[in-house]
Amino acid sequence: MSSESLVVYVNGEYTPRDQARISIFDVGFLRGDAVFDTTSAWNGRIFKLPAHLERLELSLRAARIQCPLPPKALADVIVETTRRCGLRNAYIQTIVTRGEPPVGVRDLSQCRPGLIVFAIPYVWILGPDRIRTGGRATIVSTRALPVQCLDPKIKSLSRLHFDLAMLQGKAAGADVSLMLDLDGHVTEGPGFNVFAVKGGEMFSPPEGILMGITRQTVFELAAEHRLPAREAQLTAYDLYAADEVFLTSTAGGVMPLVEIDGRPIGEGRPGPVFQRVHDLYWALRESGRDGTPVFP
Amino acid sequence: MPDYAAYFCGQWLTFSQVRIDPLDRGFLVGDCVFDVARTFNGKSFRMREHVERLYRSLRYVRIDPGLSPDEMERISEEVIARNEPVREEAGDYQIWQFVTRGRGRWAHKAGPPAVGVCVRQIGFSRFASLYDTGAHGIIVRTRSFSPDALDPKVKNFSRMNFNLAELEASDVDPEGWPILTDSRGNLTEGVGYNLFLVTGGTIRTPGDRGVLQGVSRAMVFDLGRELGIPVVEDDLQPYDLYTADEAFFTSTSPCVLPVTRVDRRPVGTGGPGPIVARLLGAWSEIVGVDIVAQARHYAPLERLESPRGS
Repeated sequence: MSSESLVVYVNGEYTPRDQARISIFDVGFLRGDAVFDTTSAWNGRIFKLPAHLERLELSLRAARIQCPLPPKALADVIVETTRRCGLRNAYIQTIVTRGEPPVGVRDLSQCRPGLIVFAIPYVWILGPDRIRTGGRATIVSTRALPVQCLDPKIKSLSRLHFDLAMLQGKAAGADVSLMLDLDGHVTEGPGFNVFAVKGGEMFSPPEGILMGITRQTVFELAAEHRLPAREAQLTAYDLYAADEVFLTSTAGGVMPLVEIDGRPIGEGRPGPVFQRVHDLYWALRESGRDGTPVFP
Repeated sequence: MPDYAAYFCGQWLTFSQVRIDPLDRGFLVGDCVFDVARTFNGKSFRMREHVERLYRSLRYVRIDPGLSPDEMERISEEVIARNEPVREEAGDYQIWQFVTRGRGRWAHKAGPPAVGVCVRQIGFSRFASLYDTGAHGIIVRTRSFSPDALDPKVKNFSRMNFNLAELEASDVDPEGWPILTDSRGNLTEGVGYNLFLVTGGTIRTPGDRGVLQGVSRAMVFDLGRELGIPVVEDDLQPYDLYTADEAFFTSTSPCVLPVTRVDRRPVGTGGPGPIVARLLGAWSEIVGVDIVAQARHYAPLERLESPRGS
């Protein structure tokens, strides 16, 4: 897939990827004042598009940004952008920026929101090889944003802390970075949620995180297949002492960790609970259930 | 390495004869306090301050060593004197003082305490080259103990968090030196060394809430007065370190050690700075030993107790 054929939707127009432009005075650029959501297509079907649109709507409401398009029209743009890119397996990002205020005006209510949708080939936080062998993580010193400052439930573009965390993880030679909150509880990583498995039961942090759609899907699959799973506060200790740890994300699905901070997790290879959940997730994706077709 | 003379529980032994009872709480539950001083040209440096800090630690943890501070100081000087004839090979010594709570299932019934004073090699090879290149500081996720749990002012053997911090730093750089923060995100100290940075000509260091009251740290305040460089205590965050003009550690053995990188970022110019050089120069003059030259000289001669040194 050459990037020349990719198309970006920007404020009502479909333009080639390298010609897409927004104003540098857009506060989405100037201050990270924008919200977004990421969906994915697999085999030509966008997974749980209504759930992603609903989460985007909640982010918009929390950030007090008005989407330029009503939900139905927005869904059509997401599908159309992906279709124009010709991608059957795609990573699709929808961004609503607060927009640009008139020159010299600080009144944010005078901004006109902007809408950007792009699709690129499917992205893996841990690629298929790493999913087979398991990834290595480090718990970085950079902390998750406190709920009191900016609730991580809002999927916003103010993510410098995520990038600093990723740089720290890279410096430690890890594939991915995990973050604690100020009290030392495990939260999430840049773009993914975390599950620990202990005694056959799955645990995922309850708050201070993005409410991941893949995370939610894992809970639904667990309920459907009678696998014990619940929310629980976890510390670094709980991850080190877990039988298994895996990550969930729209970008890569369900991905195992086999090492955290130099400590092997469980037996140091992807475990049976991960494998079961991974297989159930991808069976669901392959089935097309909960999928919105991209191509007629 | 000679088998140095050592004091242990009222007896004069050699270092290899000093053995701890495995049921001593100092070993079993890290129930032990200690202090480390050093010599310059065979003469102890600020021994009284080290002994006083040891006795503050003892008072906090409620161990009575059965010796007065004067006696502890006298024993420490005697350990140095007894090892003076074989000092040439090592250059100078570290002096380790430790007091365990002794044997016993319950702290309040345990005893008698084991009291030891030993000399060790300085361990120049761990830091000698860093006067030129600077140390690489790694801000680790592991937090300092909160003073309301176990006050880091107490120099004690329950330091698993320091060990975890070392391992964490080594994941980033095998030669990395961990830097810890407290639960509010303020910089605290390293694992046996205090942290300083220089911003706009002022030397800044975390206040002594929740850090060891380093004897070398106090020396920097004294040198600052002498050299006319302001030294202040402040709440400092990683931001201050990333944006500092210079940074350095202080510790008994290296005295002042430049920090030229933090988390793989250069600090200031990325090389040792002028204030570190002035501090080392003034310190060397006071003790009559060229601190940097001595480290460079002895580092290659050291036969270390372990591959990575102490």
